[in-house]
Amino acid sequence: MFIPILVLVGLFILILIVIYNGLISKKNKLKSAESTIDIMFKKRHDLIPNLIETVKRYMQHEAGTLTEITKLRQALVGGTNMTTSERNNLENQLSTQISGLKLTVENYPDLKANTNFLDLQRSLNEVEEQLSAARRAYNASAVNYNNGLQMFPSNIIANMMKLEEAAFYDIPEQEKTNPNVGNLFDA
Amino acid sequence: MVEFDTLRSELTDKFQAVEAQYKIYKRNQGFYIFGLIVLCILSFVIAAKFTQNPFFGAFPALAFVMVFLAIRKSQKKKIANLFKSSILIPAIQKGFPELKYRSNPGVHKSDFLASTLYTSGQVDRYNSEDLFEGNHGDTAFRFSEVHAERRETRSDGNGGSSTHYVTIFRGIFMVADFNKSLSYTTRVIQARDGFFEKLFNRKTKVSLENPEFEKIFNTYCEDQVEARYILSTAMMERIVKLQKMWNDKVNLSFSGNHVYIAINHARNLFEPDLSDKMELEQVERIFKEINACLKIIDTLDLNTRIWTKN
Repeated sequence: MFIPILVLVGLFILILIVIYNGLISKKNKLKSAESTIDIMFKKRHDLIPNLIETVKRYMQHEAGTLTEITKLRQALVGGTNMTTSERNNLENQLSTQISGLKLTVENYPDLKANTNFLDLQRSLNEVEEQLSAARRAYNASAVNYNNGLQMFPSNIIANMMKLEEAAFYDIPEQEKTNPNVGNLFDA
Repeated sequence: MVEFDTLRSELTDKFQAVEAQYKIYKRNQGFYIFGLIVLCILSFVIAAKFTQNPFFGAFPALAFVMVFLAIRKSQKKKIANLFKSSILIPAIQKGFPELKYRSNPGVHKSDFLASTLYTSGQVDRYNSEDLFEGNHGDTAFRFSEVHAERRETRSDGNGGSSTHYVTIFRGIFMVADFNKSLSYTTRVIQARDGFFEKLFNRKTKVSLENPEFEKIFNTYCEDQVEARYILSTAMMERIVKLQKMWNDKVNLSFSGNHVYIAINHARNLFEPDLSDKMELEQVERIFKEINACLKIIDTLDLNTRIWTKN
């Protein structure tokens, strides 16, 4: 009689361990996905000074946009006490400004033929593509993690561990509309 | 590319010469069959006379049938080779001057293995033919027909065993230069296949956002981000479109600098079909098959080169 009870208790403990470890694993994957996004953001920040230097000689009329990009970059690189939401908001604004800049380059054929600019453009496209992939990977991890928090029986353990749901990476309203190139250069 | 209709008049004379030989081959069919029947009857008659048992005549009769079939197959193959060398290959060279064509061998076995699409077991027999190679825009590529098999040995319960070959893949296999730099191997394979794949590779499975894509394909990659870097929302739509274009099983893998595309196809492509009659329109059909393969590169948009990989 004693042995079956022991086996049942052992099985129950084993299940608890598996669920606990599963939740930790999902949480760590989420953190890893988030740090990949940070790496991509940093790569983008590193490209911007070279971009500004290359472009400003040709695009003297677009000084406002270039200043705005520089300001956003400085805020992101220097902003150590920013919340994730504030950081994401600034990164989204930066994405919009860079997209607008790429559109405006069409009006500057000399710049379009500049080898340094072409290399930078490729690097920026690469970073944007990888950033998009990293965000999607993060969202997939967030779905998996949130499922673990909400589904039975792991939700019981998750509540005991006081785990909070992860937010998805979402595109804010300002970026859902196409950037108005005219507005970008009114500054 | 030069349209087939432009070449039609150039090919007509050569075609008529080959067609004449084909008509003789068809006309002789009756004569050969008559001769075979006579020989088989003689076999049974002689066997009955000398052994009192006419069924012994079945052995030489069977031998005659096999010789007949071998002779006819050899004659047919000779005409098919003549059609290919005197009409088809010159037509392909004129119609697709940007392509290099080679009858044998096709895509090398090392490319097939490098794709990791069909390497869950050993590839024991590998044949490839009709290699097309060239550049389509900025994309270097090569494709051919491939037939890969594995050997299976079965014991018959009496201590003996029999060996037979099972097809792993048969169809078109293409290797093309991919337009993004890759560090891992990403495999996109049919969801209805690969039961063991799903069982043993759960950790590397990538769940993607396109429901139509997810219904048809399962994706596997060690790196979740790189898989999504390759399979953007637009690329997933293109792959689904490719599947629908061919209406056959399409499997892809992305590795090194290449994309490997494997399209299952039971029919023998790039070959004249002499089962019924010989027509110059068969060259037109083969032109369409080649164009369909070249279209793969446009469908996957491999010529968009806006990232760091040149």
